[in-house]
Amino acid sequence: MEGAQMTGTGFDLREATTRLLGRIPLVAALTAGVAIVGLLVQAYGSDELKTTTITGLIDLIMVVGLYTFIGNSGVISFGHAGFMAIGAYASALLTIPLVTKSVLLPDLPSFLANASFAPLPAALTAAAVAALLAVVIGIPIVRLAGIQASIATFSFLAIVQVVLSNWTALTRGQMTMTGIPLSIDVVGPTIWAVVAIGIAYAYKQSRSGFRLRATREDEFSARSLGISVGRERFIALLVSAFLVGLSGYLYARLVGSFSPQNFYLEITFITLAMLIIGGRNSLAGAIVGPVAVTVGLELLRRAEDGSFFVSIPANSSDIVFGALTLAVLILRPDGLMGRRFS
Amino acid sequence: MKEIAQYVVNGLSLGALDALLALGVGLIFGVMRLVNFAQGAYIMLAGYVLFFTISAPWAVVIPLTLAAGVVLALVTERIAFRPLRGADGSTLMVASFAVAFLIQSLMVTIEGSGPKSIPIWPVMSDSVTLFGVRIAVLDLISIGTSACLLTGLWLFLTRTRTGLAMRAAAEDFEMLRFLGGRADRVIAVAFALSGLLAAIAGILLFSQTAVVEPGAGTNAVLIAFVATVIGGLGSVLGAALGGFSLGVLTTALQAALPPGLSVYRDAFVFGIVIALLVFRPQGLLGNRADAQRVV
Amino acid sequence: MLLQVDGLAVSYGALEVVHDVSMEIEAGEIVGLIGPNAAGKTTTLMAIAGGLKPARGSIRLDGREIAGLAPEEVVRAGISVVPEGRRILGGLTVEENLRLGGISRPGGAALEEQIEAAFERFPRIAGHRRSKAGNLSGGEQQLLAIARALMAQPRVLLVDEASLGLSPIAVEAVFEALLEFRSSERAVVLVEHDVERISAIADRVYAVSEGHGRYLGVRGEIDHDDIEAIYLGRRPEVEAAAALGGGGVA
Repeated sequence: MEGAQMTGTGFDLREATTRLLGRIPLVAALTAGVAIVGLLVQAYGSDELKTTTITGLIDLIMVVGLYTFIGNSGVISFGHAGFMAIGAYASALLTIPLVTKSVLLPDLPSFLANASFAPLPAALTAAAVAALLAVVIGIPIVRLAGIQASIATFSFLAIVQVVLSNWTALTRGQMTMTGIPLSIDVVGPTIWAVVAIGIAYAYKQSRSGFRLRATREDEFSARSLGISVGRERFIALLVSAFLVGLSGYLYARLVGSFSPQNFYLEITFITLAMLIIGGRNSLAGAIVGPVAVTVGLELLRRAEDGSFFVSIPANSSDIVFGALTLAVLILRPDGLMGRRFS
Repeated sequence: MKEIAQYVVNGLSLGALDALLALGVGLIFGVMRLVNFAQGAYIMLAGYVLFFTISAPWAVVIPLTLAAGVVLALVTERIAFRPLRGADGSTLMVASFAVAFLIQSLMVTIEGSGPKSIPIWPVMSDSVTLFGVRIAVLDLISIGTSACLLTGLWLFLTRTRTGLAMRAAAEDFEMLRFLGGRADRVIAVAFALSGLLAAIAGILLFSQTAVVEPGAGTNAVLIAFVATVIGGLGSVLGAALGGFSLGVLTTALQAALPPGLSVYRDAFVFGIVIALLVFRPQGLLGNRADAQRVV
Repeated sequence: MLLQVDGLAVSYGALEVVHDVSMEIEAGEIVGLIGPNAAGKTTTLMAIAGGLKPARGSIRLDGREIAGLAPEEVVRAGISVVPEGRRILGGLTVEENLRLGGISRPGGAALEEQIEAAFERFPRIAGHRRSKAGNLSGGEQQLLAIARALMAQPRVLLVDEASLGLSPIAVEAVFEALLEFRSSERAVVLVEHDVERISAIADRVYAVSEGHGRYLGVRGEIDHDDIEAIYLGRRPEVEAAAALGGGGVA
């Protein structure tokens, strides 16, 4: 087994699951699993469980979006939280009830002040705005090599942070943006998760996706085949920004209020870590990672509260998470799903 | 005229601080191709050590703070970064992110997430008047310390065997080993120096803000990243120059931007970083080899 | 026997590039290692120098096993390498490059003397001692690379493609230095792609082809059919010999 040979852990999750499920594509099985869990929680879960599940689904969509760029291009982006922020703020501007909006944001241009979108158009518009921003940032970034690109994405994150914190007329600056209609419905996010996975899968299987992955492994050979690295990365960035913007919309809807700080370093680390733990080379990894981490963190938090049979000090969940990410990077850098690409 | 002089002093002082920050990141990048996000955590620890020891005489406080920076840097090298030697740059960067997150979480667990105010020595908030210009003592100390450190570092890099080995490592780490240079030692020295620089930068930084909390240092390390890019990845001297230029640039932008836009100063700075990466990836003094463009 | 390589196998990740290379090098010899591109010559040399960890096999210097040692340890054991492409540190001065060569030895007056002696032996680079090494010509850089490797006072010098891109005069100067190095206590392993040049300088020659090593023989007694087979493609005789896994000195 290649996985065992390369890492010596003797266990390849991918291999095991494939044997278990036979010929069903892994991604399809995982997606079905997610959908089933979502529906069950909607039907039988407590409010608390619903909130946790929706958070997990939001993370899932975010990480799937992140994978769409990172997994296919091999370039690590530290800036995607910026797209999530745009998605969240855009949906706020589009869905806050008009009266509340005029109080919170008195200086909005009229087309925004009067905008009131239903959920579906709001979601799509918010995601589209994020994708639009990706067009702007993509042009300089997609031609940069590995580490330069990563530093550029970091710069992008910082720029978004500064702009959101200071463009008070549009965003209330560092004050909390609030008033977004709350929703604890799990079905909506579940459907969006399935859609997001579908979009990521479709991109992955597309010609552009294949070409981009070719550049990930061997850039020079790919270029000699006429593949334009910049162009393929650009497309991947757009799709991924769209998905991440979508997760921002759902986030806004779940929490109802937020500020720029919510889309900065912490969420960046958490989502990257989820992708790394799951396995950055595959869409399956992008699904497994957030699910495993969400479940694991939930168990840890219950242990912190003492409602589990073990009890651990408060805040240990973060420590465990950080240590685990580091361990994965050192011992099994290709994550749970390993080196198999799917 | 006095205003300009004021801005110049501010620029120099900020430049001095940024140069120290950038050097800490640049030294490690030079030997390991690691953009060390954990540098911020080293700074943060220095702040906490300051907080706990500030009532002691400064001859005790300062060595303790410096030691804390050095020790933490060496510990992170041994535990997190040594196993990752040879990994690609992005993996290293994410790992350093994880280390920073881990240390920050540990600090939250131990000390809580609330800010702690540091009753810094009164002399630090004093100012003197030179040629009719009010200059903060802290500014003078920043500039002076930075100048001394840079000189010391330059001498170390150019006049000692270990310094020579470090410059060689920055250019071709493997070849240094083929000549008999000890990899472990060179990297450890780079980290120790980084930790030292982080602690000193921390002292200067916290003397100004007088407050420390687990997230402190992250802004500083972002500045360090930017400065290293401006100066040129792969050039230690470039890092110092980049840091200095960044401090001056930031102050200049602050002065030059119209009032409505000056709050976006940092956005402009980061925008310049992106432009640099696109148009002059090797920065001011960097190696072309580290600055490959894709297309 | 000064250096003995036995059944060496080296992999890049999951791909085994060198399968079975064996060589025996006695003090006082210049041993050549030839073969087509990507045959595994450089990989073999790198494994001996410690840059790559062997998957199988042993490497013994004076009877002591050194396979798998880190490069800096191999240098201290007594083997220096002049790698492919010379790998001069262009940003450092010529003198600094030399000084770096002595990094495994104690500093002080002895080192300074050694540096001066190196400049005396290689006057072509002495004139540039304070220039950046990157400004030197190819031939000068090659001499510097050799002088630098000699600073560690090795017993065995591994040289990878020393004549690549050099003018005939420069090559002569390089080979002269190698001939001078070899002595009753020291030896050279020289990787070359140019068969003519190897024939001029090597006492004995090994070959590597597609990761398999074999012994070709003493200078003057080498079968040119063998060489042709190695460079142009395999033939049954070559395959049979490869399967036996290299020869040795009688």
